[in-house]
Amino acid sequence: MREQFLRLKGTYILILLAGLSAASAWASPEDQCYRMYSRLTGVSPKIQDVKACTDLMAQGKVDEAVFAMTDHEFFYSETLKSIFSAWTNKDRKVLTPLNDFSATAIGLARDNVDFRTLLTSDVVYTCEGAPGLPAYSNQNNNHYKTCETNANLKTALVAKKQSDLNPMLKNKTNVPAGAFTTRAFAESFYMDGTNRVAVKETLASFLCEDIPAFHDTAIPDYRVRQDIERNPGGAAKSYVNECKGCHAGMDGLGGAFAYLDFDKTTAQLIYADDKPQKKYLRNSLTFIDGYKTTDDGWINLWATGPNARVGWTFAEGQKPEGYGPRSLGVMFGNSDQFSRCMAKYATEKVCVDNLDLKSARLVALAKEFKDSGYNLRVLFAKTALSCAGE
Amino acid sequence: MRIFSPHLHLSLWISSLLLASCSQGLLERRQNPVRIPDAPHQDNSDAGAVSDEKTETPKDTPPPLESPEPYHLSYGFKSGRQLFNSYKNASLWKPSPSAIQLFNAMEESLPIKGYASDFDSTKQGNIVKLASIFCAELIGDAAARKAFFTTDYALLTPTQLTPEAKAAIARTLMEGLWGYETKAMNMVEMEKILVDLQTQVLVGNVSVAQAMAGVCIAVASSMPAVML
Repeated sequence: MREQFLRLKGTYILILLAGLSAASAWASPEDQCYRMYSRLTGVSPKIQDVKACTDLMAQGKVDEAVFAMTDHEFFYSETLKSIFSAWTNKDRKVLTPLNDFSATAIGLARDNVDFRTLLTSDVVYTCEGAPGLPAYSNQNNNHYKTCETNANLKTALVAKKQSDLNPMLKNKTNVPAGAFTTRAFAESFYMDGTNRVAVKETLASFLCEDIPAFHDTAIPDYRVRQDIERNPGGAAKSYVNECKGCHAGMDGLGGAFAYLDFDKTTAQLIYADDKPQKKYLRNSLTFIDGYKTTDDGWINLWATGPNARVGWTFAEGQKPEGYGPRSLGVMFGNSDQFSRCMAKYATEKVCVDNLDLKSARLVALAKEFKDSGYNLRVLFAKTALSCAGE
Repeated sequence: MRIFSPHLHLSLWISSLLLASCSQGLLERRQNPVRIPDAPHQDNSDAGAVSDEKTETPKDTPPPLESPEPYHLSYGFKSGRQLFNSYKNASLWKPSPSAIQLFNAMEESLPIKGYASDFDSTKQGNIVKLASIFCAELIGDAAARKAFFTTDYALLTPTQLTPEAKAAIARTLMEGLWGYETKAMNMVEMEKILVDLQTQVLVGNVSVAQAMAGVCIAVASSMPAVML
């Protein structure tokens, strides 16, 4: 009897889903509004929300109807935060407390600011007006944890200058640099190690590809640092065919972070522009003829060859090199793949689609994103429209 | 007021069945997705010029967004936090400290990314727990209950629980928690649950408020199966 009931119920649900699927191909304005609203905000619309949307659509104001949905509290605190949170830790965990990195990304999106500035600007969003809110600190995350619990992120975030809140970043040439000089980024990616993880995570978060995707053994290895064994386990071929393929490009880019570290004792970001952090010169005897870091210069050796597919974009006569994280952020933000990567996040979240970075849909959405002045809310609204049904 | 009794286990069981059936159906869909053919890759290598080594290749010409490329309609589950938000958004529910504590403690064992692969029996069980505390607090709080249902059905006697009242309870819950799109789809299914619960009410095993909570849990814990 129970099995029979289960079978019946299962059949019923499958029929129901088939009905949903069939209905979706011929979605009414109500269907479209419902779907876009629930996918953008993560919560079901109320009847009046659907009506407001269909009324605007009836007047031909489709873009306006969808864009309004991106101003919902949960679009910021759930939809965007769940994407940005994964960028702020090595494990790419979504369930991570709000921090200065994710708060800044949310704030820039809310304020319709060019989203590329997340990698370049002297900006950090802090919280205001939340009950029991501790003061902002460069040494802990309490301010943001409380903000997330006690405040509405749609209204509580306020833009400040990083250089005003962190004296180490004041009057410097190559910093502040948006996310790269936030405490959360430092704690996750500059602490310990060699800062190579900062390159790895930047590629993963902002170009949507991990280091192995960039593997290219054809580029010169003169930027591979001294701590990399050139004859690992007695097999020089292993270095040439494997290690070099990633390190040549990665170490070239990693120079940008040479002045940055995270001090575990004081629990804060460190920036010192007089000499590279010690970690850059550690194990220098492993291969003494390797690259010795002397400043925060970086070069993109992946700008040509197979990794030119990223669509790096430089001004006329500009070389793919620079100093410090800000210029690195400019290069990443200007690349075609940055826009396609942001479109990929949007389609995964809003359309539940996992598209290839080369897909025509992502290329088209990336163009919309660029044309909007890199406005993330416009990108998400356009993405919701693209899978709302016809 | 204590809302729950062991007799409501039946409705929890039904909720679980509903969820299990839905998730299986969705799992099958996710495993056999309709794929959109990707456009052939065009290289962008002109953009990354290194002084004299510049390589010229044709630029991408992205198609307009209105291109006839078919979209891939996918279904997703709500994440644990989206569920929690949905309960708050749909009603005047203000989670008690113990509800918040429960949610925080089990958030990692609720769906996180909204994919079928992120959904298992442990998570289903935790969704029912979350739905249970939401329904207990919503129906136990007179102000929130009245605001949500408009009519205070919980104060009816068992014999006043007419078919119209039952249908109104179910419809209000489904429209409020699932939203516009599914409002009519599961009434048949819901009626089976209502008939069973009314039987329990009539024999005196549960109160009307408890029966409402049972229906509420069935609807609230089925939210993840609803298309986002």
